[in-house]
Amino acid sequence: MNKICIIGGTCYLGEQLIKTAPCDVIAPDRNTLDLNNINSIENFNFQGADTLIICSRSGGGERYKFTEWPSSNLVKNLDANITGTVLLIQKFLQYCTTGTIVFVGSIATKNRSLYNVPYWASKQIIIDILDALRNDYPETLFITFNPPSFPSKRHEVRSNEKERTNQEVADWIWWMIENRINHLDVYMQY
Amino acid sequence: MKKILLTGGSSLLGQQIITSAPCEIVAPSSLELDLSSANSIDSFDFKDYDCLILTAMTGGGIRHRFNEYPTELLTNNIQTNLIGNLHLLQKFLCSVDSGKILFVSSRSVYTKPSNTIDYWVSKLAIHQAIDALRKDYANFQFCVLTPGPFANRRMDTNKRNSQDIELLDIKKITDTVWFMLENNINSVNLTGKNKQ
Repeated sequence: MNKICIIGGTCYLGEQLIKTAPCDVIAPDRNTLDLNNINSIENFNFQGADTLIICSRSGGGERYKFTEWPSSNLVKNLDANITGTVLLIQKFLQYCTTGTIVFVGSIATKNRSLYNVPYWASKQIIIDILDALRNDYPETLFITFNPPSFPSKRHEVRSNEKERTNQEVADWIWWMIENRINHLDVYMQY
Repeated sequence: MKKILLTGGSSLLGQQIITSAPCEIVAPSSLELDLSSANSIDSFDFKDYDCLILTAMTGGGIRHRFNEYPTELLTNNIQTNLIGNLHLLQKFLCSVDSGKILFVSSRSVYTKPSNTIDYWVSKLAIHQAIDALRKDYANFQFCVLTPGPFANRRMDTNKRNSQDIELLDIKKITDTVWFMLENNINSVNLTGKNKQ
């Protein structure tokens, strides 16, 4: 790894990754890279990064029954989490096919709660896409990770769940990159 | 069933569904209901319908290596196929108290070809969402039909011959649609015979 590009650098996990990164990091804020804006993605400069870590999560922590999810949020969250993320991955692969892409999913993709369908559906889609790309881009290391709940600026801890720390989650990510682990699921502790 | 709303009515499958429908069926054009436009979905009136059949998908049969996929096409297909269909599903569930929803998926959700990602990933996501929603919306019957390849307007003779399994007769697919809706069948995988 020469340089890491972290998407979602303003969340707690992003901050932790920036703090503990073993090499140079760029972490664009929303003014520099907006996943809801195609032009912003098109014009983004990876500045020599050979590793892309995506831990952004529009709408993470929001919980509504499907029919109560505000329509505008639904579309905006899906747009950033799916369309924006897919385009960013495409852009990275157009620029570098010998690097590493890490996608931080969520263990919600296993639980599939009724109260955050758009969230886990988006995460699962990106995992499925990266899985399908592995054969086509053999020199790229694709890493997908479903961590359990960890502190976020958006959500409150639910009483029956034991959250893991951002330090733990960041350590798992560095461990996966170092050991070239393709996929890791870590379940909730209650 | 009293009145069916069908998306994708201009496709061969859509046409066959329309001609064989056992009751009134409405298939709005993309000018009347545009899945790539949130405003169009928000302003559509779903109240008269008690059945929704989702067949509309763009990009089927179009193949590109992922990093060569035209950005605009990739974006439009994901927005239409995935975000549009989920949004439509939400509006239908909000608009009526009970009803039937049938989603036509694709065999490619199992084979996951890397050169048609925008297509199968959207099918798979809607399929997974429907599986989750089934538990929470007991007044609705959710059906997912996953057909193997069948002849469509984009498929030329070479492609037809190159299929490893026999193409499904489109009538068999529509018969299955009506059988599932009539008999409350949740999920059916329909595959042609292996050519060997």
